[in-house]
Order: sequence, then C-alpha cells, then structure tokens
Amino acid sequence: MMKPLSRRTLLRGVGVSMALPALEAMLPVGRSFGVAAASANPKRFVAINIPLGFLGEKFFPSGVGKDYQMSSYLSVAEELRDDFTVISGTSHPGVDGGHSAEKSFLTAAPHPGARSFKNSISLDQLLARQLGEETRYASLTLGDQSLSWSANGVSVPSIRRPADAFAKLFLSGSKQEVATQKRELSDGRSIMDTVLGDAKAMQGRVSAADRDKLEQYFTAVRETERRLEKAQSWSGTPKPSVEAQPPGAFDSADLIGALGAHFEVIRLALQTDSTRVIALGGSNHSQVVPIKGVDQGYHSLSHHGKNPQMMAQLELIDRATIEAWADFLRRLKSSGEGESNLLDRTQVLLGSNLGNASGHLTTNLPIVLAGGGFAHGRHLAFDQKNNEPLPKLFISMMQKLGVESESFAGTSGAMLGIE
Amino acid sequence: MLAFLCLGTSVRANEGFEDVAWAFFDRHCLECHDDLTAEGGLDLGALDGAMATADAVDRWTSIFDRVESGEMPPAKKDRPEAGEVDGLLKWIDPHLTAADRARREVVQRRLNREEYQNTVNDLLAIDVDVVDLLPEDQWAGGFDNNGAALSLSAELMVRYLEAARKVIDAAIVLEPKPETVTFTVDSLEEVQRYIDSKLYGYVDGRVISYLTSRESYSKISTRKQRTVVRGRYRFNFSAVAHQSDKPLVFSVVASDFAPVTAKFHNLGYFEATPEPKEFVIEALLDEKSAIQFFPLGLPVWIKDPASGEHPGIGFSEVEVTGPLIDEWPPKSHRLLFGDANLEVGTREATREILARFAARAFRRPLEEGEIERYLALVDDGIDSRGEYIESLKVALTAVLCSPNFLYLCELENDESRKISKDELATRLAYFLTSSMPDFELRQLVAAGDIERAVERCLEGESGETFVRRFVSQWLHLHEIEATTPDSKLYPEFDERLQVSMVAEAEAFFRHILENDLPLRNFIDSDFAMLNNRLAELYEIEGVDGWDLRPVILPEDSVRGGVLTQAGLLKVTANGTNTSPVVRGVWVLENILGKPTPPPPPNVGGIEPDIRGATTIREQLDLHRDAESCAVCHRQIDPPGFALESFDPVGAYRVNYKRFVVSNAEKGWGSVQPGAVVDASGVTAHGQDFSGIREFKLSLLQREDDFTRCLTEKLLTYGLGRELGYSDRTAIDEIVSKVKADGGGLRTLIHSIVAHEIFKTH
Repeated sequence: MMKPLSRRTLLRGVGVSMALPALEAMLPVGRSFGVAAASANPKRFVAINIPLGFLGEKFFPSGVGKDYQMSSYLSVAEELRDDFTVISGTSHPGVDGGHSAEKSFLTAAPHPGARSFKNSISLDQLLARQLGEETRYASLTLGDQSLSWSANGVSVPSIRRPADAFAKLFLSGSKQEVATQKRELSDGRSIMDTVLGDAKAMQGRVSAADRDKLEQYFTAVRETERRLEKAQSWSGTPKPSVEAQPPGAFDSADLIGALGAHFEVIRLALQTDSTRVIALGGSNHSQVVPIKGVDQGYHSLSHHGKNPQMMAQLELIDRATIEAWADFLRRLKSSGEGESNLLDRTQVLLGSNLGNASGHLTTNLPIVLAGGGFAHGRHLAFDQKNNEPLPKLFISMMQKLGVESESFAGTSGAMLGIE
Repeated sequence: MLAFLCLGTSVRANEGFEDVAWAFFDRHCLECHDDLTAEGGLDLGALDGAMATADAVDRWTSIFDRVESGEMPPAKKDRPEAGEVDGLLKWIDPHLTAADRARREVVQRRLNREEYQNTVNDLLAIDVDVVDLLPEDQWAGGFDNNGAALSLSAELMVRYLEAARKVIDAAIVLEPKPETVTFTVDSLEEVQRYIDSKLYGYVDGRVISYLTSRESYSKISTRKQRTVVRGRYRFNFSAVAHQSDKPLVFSVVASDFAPVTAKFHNLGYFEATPEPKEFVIEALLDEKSAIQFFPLGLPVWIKDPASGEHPGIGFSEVEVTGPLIDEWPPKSHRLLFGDANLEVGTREATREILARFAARAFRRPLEEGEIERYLALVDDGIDSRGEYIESLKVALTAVLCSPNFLYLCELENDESRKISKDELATRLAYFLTSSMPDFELRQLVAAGDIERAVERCLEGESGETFVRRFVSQWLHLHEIEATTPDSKLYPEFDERLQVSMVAEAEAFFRHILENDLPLRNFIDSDFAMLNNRLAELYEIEGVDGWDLRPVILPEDSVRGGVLTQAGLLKVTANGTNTSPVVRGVWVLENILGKPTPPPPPNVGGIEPDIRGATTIREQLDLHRDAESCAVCHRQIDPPGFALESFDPVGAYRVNYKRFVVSNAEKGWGSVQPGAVVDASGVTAHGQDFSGIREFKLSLLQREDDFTRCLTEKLLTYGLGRELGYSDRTAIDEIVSKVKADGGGLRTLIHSIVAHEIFKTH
C-alpha cells in the first residue's frame, strides 16, 4: 500500500535562475549524425493535459471572436490576451470512456475505454519524427501520466519527477559513468544485431498473425539501433550547463508545486534546445491538495455533483493550475531568443481529456492554444451540441510547425479560425 | 433501394446473403437501420456481407445475439415468424464461425511486465524489481496479458535492454561473501522528548504510540542503524496492545529514506494483542534501508495526551540479523556458470554457459547452431576490449532481448494445429503462475500428466500469484486506490478497511478454489471470508481478530457472493457517490457475460446532481424513455438499482448520506440522512425484485450464464486472447463438463486446461 509522502516540501523550484551562454554558442558541433546546421528559427511544441479538467462555467469566456469577455479563470492571464486563443465546443470524435480518454488526448484514438482498445501515435511523437532530428532528445514525456504513444500503441514511459527530468537534461555523471554509458551504447548496438539474427531465424515458421508481431519486433530493433547511434553521436557533446538548482522533492499531493517545477524544467529544456517536443501529463490523484481552504481529495472533489462547497474547493485548485500555466507563459515570453522569444517559437497547448469530470463527459473540452506565432487574442466558439473535431486543431498546429499533414486520426482539414 | 446498391461495390458477400439475410433485414430492420437513420450507429446497408473484417465479425456477432435473444426487432415492432428468425440464425452461424475462427488465433505474445519480472527472477534465482523500468502494458479483453494488445516498440526495446543489464548484473556476484551481522536497534532516543509530553509512552521496555500517522515516516523504526548491503534480513521484536482489551493492527514498511526518491515497501499487516507477542519478519531490503512501524486504527489526533489513558501499540527494540546467506556464491551464480572457471574462460566453457542459460531462457531445447551468434558476441567483445566477464555479460544480456525469450513463441512445426509439449508447459505456467515453467512442470507435461501439472501450478506461492492476479483483474481491484472516499461522509474508511477489502476478495476466491466449491457461491454464498474490520463494516457479530476466516452468515444477511463485497462496491463507486450505471455495466460484463457497447455518439452522459432536486433514478427513468437508450439500459439499470443499498465504501445503507454545513467558513458540519434508497426494480427478464437479496435469487436462476461468463474470463486470461463467436462451442463443452462434474472452481480450471482449445494455436 502506498503511503503518501510526508508534508515536507523541499525546494519548490522557485527563484531558479540561470545564466546561459548565447544560444548559438551552445549548438552542438562536430556531430556526424546526418544533421545539417541546426535551424536558426527552431519551432517547438508543448502539450499539457489536466486530466480532471476545469469547471466549465468558470473556464470558458463569454462572447466570441476578438471582443470576447475574459473568463473568471483566465482573467489572471489578461495581459497575455494576445498570446493565446481559447477554443470551446471541440472534442475528439468517438473518444468516450471517462478517465480512459486521457490515453487519447494526444492521439484521438476512438473508444479508449473499450475492451479491445488499441492506441495510435500521439501528436508529440509524430512531430518528434521531424522536429526531433536536430536535438539531443527527440522528445520528452513528463508528468504523472504519459500522453505519448508510439505508432503501434505502446505507451512512452513518462518521467514523473521534475528532478529526474532535470538530471537527464543537464547532469552528466562521473567520468566513469560516462565511460560506462558510452560502452553500453556500443554494446547495445551489437546486441540488437545479434537478436535480429534470432528473429530472422523465426521467419517462415510463424503464422500470418505472428508475422505481424515479428514485423513489430524487427521495426523496434531497427529503430532502437538508430536511437543508439544517435545517442552515440551526441555522447561526445557535453550536456548544456545551467545555473539552476535541480528541483527538489514534492509532497505527492502537491500537484501545483509539481506543475510549477515541471514548467521550469520545460523552459530550461527549450532554452537550451535540448528538445523541441514536450508532452506533460498532469495528475488526477485522490489526495488532498495542500491549498488553504481545500480539505477533500482532488478526485473526489471533481465528482462534486453540483455540491457548492465541493465546487468552491475545486475552484481553488483550478485557479492555482491556471496561475501556474500563466506564469509559465510569462517566463517563456521573457526568455528572449535572437530577435524573438521562446513563447513566439513554442506552441503551448493546454487542455483536458474531460469536458466535465463530474459526469465523466468527454465533450466540450477546455482548450487553450498559446504562442507558436499564431494570430491569437480570440475565442473560437464551436457548437456545444455538435462539437468541432479537435484533431483539426492538431492539423493546424502541425502545418504551422512545417510538418506536412492533411489528416490526423481519421479527421481531415485544418481548424477554421486558427492562423 | 439506396442501401442495397452500395453492396455491389463491397467485398463479395457470402452465398445466400441476399436471399436469407438481406431479405430478413429488408422486412424487419431497415426501417431503423438504413443509411439515413442508422439507429444505434448500425447501417445495415454498409454491412460487409462477406464478414471479411474484424469490425464486420463483431457486427455480425452482435446481430446474431440481438436477434437470437429477441431483443431485436424491438418489442413494439411486428414479430418475425419463428421460421424466419431460425433461417437467419442458421445462415449466419457457419459463415460467422468460419470468419471468426480465422481471427481467433493465439498470437505470439510478449511477456507483460509482471511476467517479465517473475520470469527473470525464476530464471536466475534472484529478486530484482524491474517492473518500474518497463512501460505500462496495455490491456484488452479485460486482462493485462492479451497478445494483441502487448505491442513492442523502440521505447520498450530500449527499456528491455536496460532491464536485462540490471538482471544480469544482479545474477553475477564476484564480490567476497558479505558478513552476516546481528544488531539491536531501539527507537527510544528518537521519541524521548515526546515521552515527557506523553505523546508517546515507554512501558516495560516498549515505546508506545497512541496515534495513527498520516505521514510516510514513523518515529518507531530501525532507522538508527540501517542495512549496509542489499539482502534478506530477519527482524525480531515484540509488540503489545497497550491499554486495550482488543487486538490492534500495525503495518511494517521498509524504506531506503532517500531524500528525493525514497522507496517504500510494505512488508505486511500484523496484530498486537493485549498479551505481548513475539514477531519474526524476514524480508528483502535494499542497502541503507530500515523498517518502520505504523499503528493503524488509532485516532490521528488526541486532545489530552497528558491523561495517559489512551490505547496504543507498544514496540520493543528490534533485533536485526542479516544479510541472511544460504550459499556463496549465490545460487544465481551457480545456475549461470556451473563449475566453470571464470578466470580462464575457455571458448568451450563459454559455449556451455551460454547454451545452458539460453535453453532455460527460451523454455525449450536449443536448435542446432542457435548459440553461435551469442558466442560470436563474446568473441567480438574479447577482441575489442580484452575483457572476458564483461563480454560474457553482453551475450547474456542479449539472450534476454531475443524474441525467443520475450515472446511466448508457438511455432508452426507441422500441419496440425496442436502446439508442442514445451509450448503447452509454457502456456500452462503463464496461465497459472505468470512465470516460466520449471523443470518438473515440463516433465509432467511431457509425460502427459496434465492433471498433476495443474495441481503443481496451483500449489503454494505460485498459486497465490494466480489468485491475486486473476481476482484483481476480474473484479477490477487493481483500481482499489483510484479514489479516496470523501472523508466527511465516510470517516470510517481507513487503510485497514482498504487492505481487508482486497484480502477478502482473494480469500473468497481461494477458499472456493481450494475446496472446489460450486461456482454459484460467487453469486450468493452462505459464508463470507471476514476479519474483524470487515465484520464491523458488515455489522456481523462475533468476529475477532485480523486474520480472515470463513464465517457463516446470518440467514437474513445481504452479504454472500462477490457482488456485495466491499472491495467491489468501492471500485464501482467514485468516492463520493455511486452510479447504478457503472455498477450495472460491471455486473453485465463480469457476472452475466454480456458486455455493454458504449453509448451511441452524441447522447451525452448524465451529470450527477446531488443537491436533491432529482435522484439519479429519476434521471435514468427519463433516459430509458428514449428507445435507443432503453435497449441497453433495460439490462444495465436493474443490477445497479439492486446495489444502490451499498455506499461507496461498501456499507449497507437505508438512506443516502448528505453533509450539512453549519459553518461554511470553517467547513464544519454534520452527516445527515438524505433520501431513502430505493433498491427495487425489474430485471430484463421481467422479474420483480425488492432489493439485493431478491436480485441475487434471480441471478441464481441464471447460474449457467455465470458459469459461461467465468469460463470465458478464465479462458481469455489463460490463452491471452479475446474470445469470439467461434469459441462458443468450446465454452459450451467446458461448461457442460463442469456441470456434470459438480460445478466446482478447481474442476473448471482442470476442464479448461484439458480441453482441445488450450492445446491448439
């Protein structure tokens, strides 16, 4: 049985500062992995899912288009109005199944709660194929729940603790550890070679269905070889150094603290160009979030059944979540990069797989798209009864990132109003 | 007819489709199920008459079932003549059987992460924890060992590489034997200053704790002197229930106390009695670890500690001995290397080491020349780095990344659909032990003594694995921690109850399995497996003590069977309220074997409103008025209504509870009775019931449905694939055999394994 961690909250990742050399100076040199000069104008993608969503009536603005009235929740980000677009009346077609819809937030694979559900590739992993070539890590998957899925529906393991993500990005380990890692990379490639031989020996002795499985194995082994090769080519380049303290431990109930620390690690990852694709899955735990005025478990509060006391407590958590997000946007905006800033070069998608957690409804999802060079400052309001497919937004985002695509998960065409 | 025209372009339909099936659809179905209306999402005009796709097979199966049961065409329409229905079903059957069979093959399935961990530990006689290294597995058909859902990708391969390294490192021990030491630790120093303020006590050489802590660290522990190396340790101590005439429960949790990444490992729950009792616990501990004691079921706060009159649990000092070592080098080392001299490392010895390991890892004899690739890997390593052991380790790691190890391989050796003896032993072992077959099991299967092979699997610890894994997945107990009941409405909920809930479900299943009791006990039984905590919740007198045991239930008890077990009632609720829909869907799927399709698109769910304006029953009544909802809700709602008598923690209720706030600012208030629960209803078969007891009686009349359902679950789990239309004959055969043989659970498992379906591809 899990015991909640103690209330001791160590470093909160607040006041982390960093002194970075000019970005250009940090571009890795002398690599041989088929990389031309890194692009001068990198385009980036961050997706955040808050699995229990938000109280709709506080989240969604009134009015549409440019002159909309900022909602109660989003008013904390009023000064960033021109940096984001609020979208209402969207959802993934065929995605039902209550909490299991989390698996489909970035994949749009239908019926995630069905007995024989099989997931498909998530938006971040699709983007990473193209945007991930130039950076040390093709993508990062962070948070309590993984939002990232491979093409054949394997969950990409998530880095749960901000401290672990920080270590992966910025800490190199001892000389001996580095030497061991290098050797393991080359051993790994020899191992992949060897087991490929075993798989080849099996060919021709398996049934049609098993041939598919074997094909999966071949693909996985070849892709692993490619990744090991890429890691080898990077192994001579030291990791970027940042002058920030690693984030500390969190009381496992403190989801706001964890969210803030994740955001700071994400910002550092983008600023050092360690990766350009990040997916962060929020928490839906059932503990009491340490916020004054909250004394019931988060998950239970989401099933408020319209009880006003419970809704009031939930609102406190919702607001703190939005504040952490707004703070993240501000930090990105104040992080200059060349003539631009990180926010302008990063698409930040905030949303939820649930439109109404109390009823486990998966329609009318709360969605905000920030940054990334889009023309923002609007509320796009689609039909509440007949939702606009959310994959259309994904297509718009892909196109803006220069990833050619006409359809996603069976939906075609970009979202009207996103430019 | 527009719909009909579409057919010309689709795959060639099976012979007779137009004359029989289409004629029937035309007369009775197209009014609602054409391309324009497509009621319930079904457009018969777009139906694939050749049954060539997975989706088509599912649709045809559903059409067959709905028409056969009389659900369709719906009651308010004209009834087809009996001969017409019969004709349609007779036409569908052979075509659907053939189409379904083509898809129902046991696919080459990879180990899931729990099976992987069990397997490497059994393979090498080690005790490593690698589950957290591997990505979460995807489920299908209700289980985590489904071959179709267990995909492989680079993400996973990279992790397999990492896990295999960890496994091989743990198995090869070149260090000198660590010294076994014994030392004694007490917690007195840690709590000394609290003893003065009476927050803790000290009596008869034992530190007394009066509180149940919500923290993850306890002041009563062996933290003062932690372990130096990883290994098995023995802990001796005594405990007493202080100032209490009743026994009190505590948990023992090991931790490494790492600052950011501390790991916790629960070693179990124990009972302190008013008479002091000696305890001996043996457990595997990481280095720098210690054990901590957590009293449970005591107050979290006491007003007047100074009175010194409160009950508590006293813990003596702890004698720690370890690491406990049976042999050195450890067994893993011997299993790998035999008597080989690693200093020299001849090529012949290397070949022998690799062959011995690979044959066990691949769960079959090696084929000619199979080991050469691995031998070459060692040669290359020696050439490039000049180091023998490290090069050997690389080859051993490679064995654990081979498809022969990662997949339960069932190769096609000849024309017959039968799997080989070795493959059968493997299938059986993963069904009942979630690990590799050992030598004795392979021998029993080779000798054809399947009955003894099954019995061997169900013995001891490996049988426990089957009970734990199957029960947790069938009854969804893996979700037991998903929600925490609202502490205002259900303050009685605590860790002891949650642990007991899971233990009850497992003990119940185990009791029925061990005694081969009839399956109908799962629907209703005259006994329950209880300890004092569950008996308190169920309001059953005379059950003392923490250990679960069979207890005969009072005549008028609402308990008995699985439906009214607290664990199930908790996982089908959300912590605050209960939904008849969630529970109804659960009963249909897991007791009656009638899974419910998801609601058609755009109907919207029901948002609970507990302010009292409408009850969920009233909302559902509205819902049922719509015909497209009614088809399923006629089935779903009744079991859910019967279970409304049970709250989210599994207690029986006459009234709903509401929390009435008296001081909004401070959140104070009290629990008051709300509306009266109405647990009556009418089953889909038209039987009235007034509550749970009558509902269970109506279920007992459908005992065969349950037998079929549990058979299907066990078979799905045992084969690692979903079952379909073409498996129905096999299920019927197994069900009849079990009925003829007394209807017991153990008999069912034997009958499943003995059946042809368990031995074919």
